[in-house]
Amino acid sequence: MHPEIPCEDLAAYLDADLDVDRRRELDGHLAACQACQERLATLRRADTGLRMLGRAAVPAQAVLRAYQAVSAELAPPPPAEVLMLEQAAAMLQVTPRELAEVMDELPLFEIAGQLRIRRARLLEWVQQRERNYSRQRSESWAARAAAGVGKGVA
Amino acid sequence: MDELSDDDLMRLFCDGHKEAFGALFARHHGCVYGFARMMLHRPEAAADVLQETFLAALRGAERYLGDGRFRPWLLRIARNLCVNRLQAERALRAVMSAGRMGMDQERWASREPTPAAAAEQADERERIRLAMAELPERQREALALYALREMTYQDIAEAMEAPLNTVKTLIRRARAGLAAKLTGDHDAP
Repeated sequence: MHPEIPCEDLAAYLDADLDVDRRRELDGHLAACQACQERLATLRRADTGLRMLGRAAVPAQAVLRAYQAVSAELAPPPPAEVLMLEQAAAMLQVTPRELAEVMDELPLFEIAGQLRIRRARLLEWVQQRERNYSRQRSESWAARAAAGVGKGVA
Repeated sequence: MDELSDDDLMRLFCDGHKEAFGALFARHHGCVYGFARMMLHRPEAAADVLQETFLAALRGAERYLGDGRFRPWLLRIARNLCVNRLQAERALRAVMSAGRMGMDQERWASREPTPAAAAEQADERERIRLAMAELPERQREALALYALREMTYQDIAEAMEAPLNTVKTLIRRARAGLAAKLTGDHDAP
């Protein structure tokens, strides 16, 4: 390469980061020096190429993989499998005192002197209560209906 | 969320609005990948760095200062990850060259194109990538950051944790070196 203008100065010239005197000096030199004009043009081409590289498209697979990893990290942790009584009460939307009233029915277990309940067993218990309640209501309606029919006949 | 700044999004994220991080991902994944791709030989490695960078940013979100310098902060993470990978690759190659894994070493070497031979057939982008690969690592790092849109010298200095003037010199030498390699003038810096 031409030795007269250091490469770094040519790059600074392109960046418009030279003081006025040095810039004027380079302008004068470039106007007369074919070799340095070519060096400047090569530098411009390299810069353009670099910007092109910087804008390279990201492969869809890479974006998807990274996005999935980030999403997985942001996802809430899975619910605990084993609950304390306070957590069980919160899950059932009752106070611990209210839960204590049905304590004998709950499928609890003891560990290290503490009572715990498995989430899955608690849900089974809830489903059982749903069935019981539904059956009781049906029976109650049936009984009322039967009573009504009896009165009508009488 | 397009109208919110990076700092606004980071604040929202730290306040529990997880979707804000998705917006930051959408905004910046291109520059992280672009940088990593220029630093590393293999696209798969760049994809790994893309993922690791955002996971590290997510886990370290509370360490972000909220000073309006999100992109340099993010690229600093990406840069550290790239540097670590390059160091690991060098260490692996050193182990291979110790002799016991001679055949694997040949296979390894064959994965990296010989710059001179490959440049003949490559397009302009690939020619630049290959020319960059021949630059000293620190210059390549600076150049990869310089190539990204909207990265000022100040941003690059922050991402590289180096003084502004050092970074300017580094980049200008690297650009000159790159131009020289593209024209086949290997005497230039």
